[in-house]
Amino acid sequence: MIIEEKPRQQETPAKPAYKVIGTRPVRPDGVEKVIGRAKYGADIDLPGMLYGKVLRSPVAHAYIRSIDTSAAEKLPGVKAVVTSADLPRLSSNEYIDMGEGGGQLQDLHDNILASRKVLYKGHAIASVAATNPHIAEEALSLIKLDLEELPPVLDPLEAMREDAPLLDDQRYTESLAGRSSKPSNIARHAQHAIGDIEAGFAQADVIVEREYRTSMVHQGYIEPQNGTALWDADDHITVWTSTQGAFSVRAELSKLLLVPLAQIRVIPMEIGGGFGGKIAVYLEPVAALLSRKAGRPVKMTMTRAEVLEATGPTSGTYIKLKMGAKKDGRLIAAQAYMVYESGAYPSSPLGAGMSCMLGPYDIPNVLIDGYDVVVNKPRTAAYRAPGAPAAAFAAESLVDELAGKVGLDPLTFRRINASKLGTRLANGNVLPRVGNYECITAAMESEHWNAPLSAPWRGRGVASGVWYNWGGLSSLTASVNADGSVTLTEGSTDIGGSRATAAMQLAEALGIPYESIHPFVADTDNIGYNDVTGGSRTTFATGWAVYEAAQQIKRQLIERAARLWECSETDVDYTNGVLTCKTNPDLRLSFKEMAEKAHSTGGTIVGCGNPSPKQFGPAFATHIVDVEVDPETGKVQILRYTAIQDVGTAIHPSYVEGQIQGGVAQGVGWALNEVYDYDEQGRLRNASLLDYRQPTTLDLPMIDTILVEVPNPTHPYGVRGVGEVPIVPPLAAVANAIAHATGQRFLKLPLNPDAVLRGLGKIK
Amino acid sequence: MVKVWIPALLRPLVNGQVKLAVEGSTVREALHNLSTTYPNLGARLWDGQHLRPGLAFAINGQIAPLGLSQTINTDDEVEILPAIGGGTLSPASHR
Repeated sequence: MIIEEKPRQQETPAKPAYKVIGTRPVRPDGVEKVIGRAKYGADIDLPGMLYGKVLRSPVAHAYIRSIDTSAAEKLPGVKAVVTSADLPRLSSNEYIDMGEGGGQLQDLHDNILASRKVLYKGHAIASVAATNPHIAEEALSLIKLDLEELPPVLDPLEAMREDAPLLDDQRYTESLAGRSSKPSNIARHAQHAIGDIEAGFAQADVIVEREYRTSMVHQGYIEPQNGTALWDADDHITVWTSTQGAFSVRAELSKLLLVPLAQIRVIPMEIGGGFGGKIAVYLEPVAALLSRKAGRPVKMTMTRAEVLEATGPTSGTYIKLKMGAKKDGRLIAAQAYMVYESGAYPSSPLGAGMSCMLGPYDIPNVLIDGYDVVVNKPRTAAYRAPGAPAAAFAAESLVDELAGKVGLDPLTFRRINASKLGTRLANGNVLPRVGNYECITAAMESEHWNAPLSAPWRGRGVASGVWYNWGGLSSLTASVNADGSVTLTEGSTDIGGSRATAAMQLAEALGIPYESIHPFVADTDNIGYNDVTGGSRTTFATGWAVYEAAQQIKRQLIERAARLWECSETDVDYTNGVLTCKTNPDLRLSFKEMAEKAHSTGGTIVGCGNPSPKQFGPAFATHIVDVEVDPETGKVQILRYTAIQDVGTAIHPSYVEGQIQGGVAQGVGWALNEVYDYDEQGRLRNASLLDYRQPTTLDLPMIDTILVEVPNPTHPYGVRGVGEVPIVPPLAAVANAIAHATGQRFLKLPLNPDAVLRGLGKIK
Repeated sequence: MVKVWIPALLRPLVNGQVKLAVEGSTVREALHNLSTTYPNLGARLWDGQHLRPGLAFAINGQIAPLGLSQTINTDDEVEILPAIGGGTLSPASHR
């Protein structure tokens, strides 16, 4: 007899009666984008502007013997040519924290323009600026490269072997315990442990062990990387770019080019998608070097092939996972061996993968060993819940098998073992109030879960997932205008609707209409430091900043009213956008009326917020998916998809639903089709969106969402980040549904028709 | 005395112990005192006066907003955690 215990945690408080939060107003940037007037990086056009192009390595691994640029420099129309010799020599090799991911400075330096070796096909080697893009391209063909080709290492497990060719003979394995004695392609070893793993497995009644693999995949943002730079004669640099973090770009440029922060101005343009991939710089420092040489602004944009071959996808992974459960369904032990490929330089999201893999479960005995391994592929970058989807593919597939072996349905098994307030995770964290249990319960009660599904070759799968979210630094100002409107100047680049959610929180805090707020994203010269828009932090942390700014404005409004009414400030009340005098009910001013009097009662009213919130609320999700497998073609059709997620408080429910649907779409693509298809020489065979198969509207049904609201108790409006966890469960949910449909477990992604037919024994 | 949880890979440097009791009114003070008792551990935590990169701290399971400067009280539990940018923990939390 299995007895489920409801977690002992505080009850969910009743939702306050918000006036703006929870509504669905039109986004402030919507019209400009719809009519095509919004300015993206590729729209920049400056007087005298040149066009830059990059010469990239044609091979995956080679020593650079020489680069002869003389013929290119002589081509009419060419104004500058740069190689790694034009980058400043760096004396330090500090770790650069880019917010979501980071890396050693020397590695970032070498990734911008290769010096001694090229480490992947597409690695930038030289760059040309010319009066038009065609001349720049022609000039690239005149650059003579002398490369000594080396065997590439493409598989992380092969790269870990002692006899594997080394990408870097100065790279050693780093861990908390120290550094390896010999060079290695294993850049990092990390370990998370809790309890006694051997004793745990000794208590288990059922043990399952499997090996899982996922491929390197790309974020798939539609707008390619771009960057325009102007290096002035007085050594001030202005950069226009598509980025998730203008301040991160500024910091990277400062370290790479040895120019003080205050001499670099980064202007973030509208962004056509990022998903973690638009944090590291690629073109911006090159454009700046070219601009310095040419004395003119230089614009650079990538082709789609360059985006796929030479920016940062996410890691392919190998995960061996063993889990044990008691007969009553309780998980008792889990051990994992995780290998994440980093690409050419250490950068994989191994730590987050290790932390998130078993996050939905309360398991007393856990041991996880993780390895970050370099291979001859592009340096990886963050991708939506970095590291977590592949880890969840392994854990959630195995949990599904375990549930079956102890005779429980997969949701009941998950709920019995659900992590909750007070659960200590193997990474050392102790969970605050979370909505994991509530999500699983909502899934169990959903119409989808309880709907029949009986046709042959159809299956239903579920999976859970977690992303812990982030806080980071936000800075903004809110200026009250004389007509009662408020100009909200923020520094968080808007990739998912954060201008709207910031404006909504400010309107809520001030008790004024959303339409009165005019939010815009400023450049690095015009606002204080902001961390990147990533880690699902912006609506949370910038929301905190907005709340702080609103409190400052309220205090000033009260001061001014007290001065006008010649009463004590304690006698003034401000509620729902109206000032009243407690001692004289006849005295009353609306926010707008007080704003009109601001200049005559002491000057401009401005609030600012600069918080550094650390107590961010983790987000959990449980997904349900129905699939149909065609046994003749191997094609998998998604029939129905429901994503249940604890969203804290849905500030703008349409944006929350959109984030969830977007994450699911990407996760389904990862599960079914997307793959970096390399040949044996390390050449990417599908470097176009024709061959790199992303899901389209024809591949997906309407994705239903169920928003569970367990407010984050550490945020004034209960906000949790919502943007990343939706991509965590789909890989395993789809794989579990296919297993249900076919009776066959699939341990390697993607599950494209070829893989499905092989799994079914239809082809060899 | 506060209790400091030791990461798995550092436990061999403290005779395999998982938790250690130590005096200290800030995270920095507690770690310095621990480093005095276990110099090999100290060598892994500190690079001169600076904390090595890749570490963050939690007090009673919650991220320490002020990192090394965070004040701690008797019976608090300090966790030395692997830092993860943009996710669970920020590498900057050891500022």
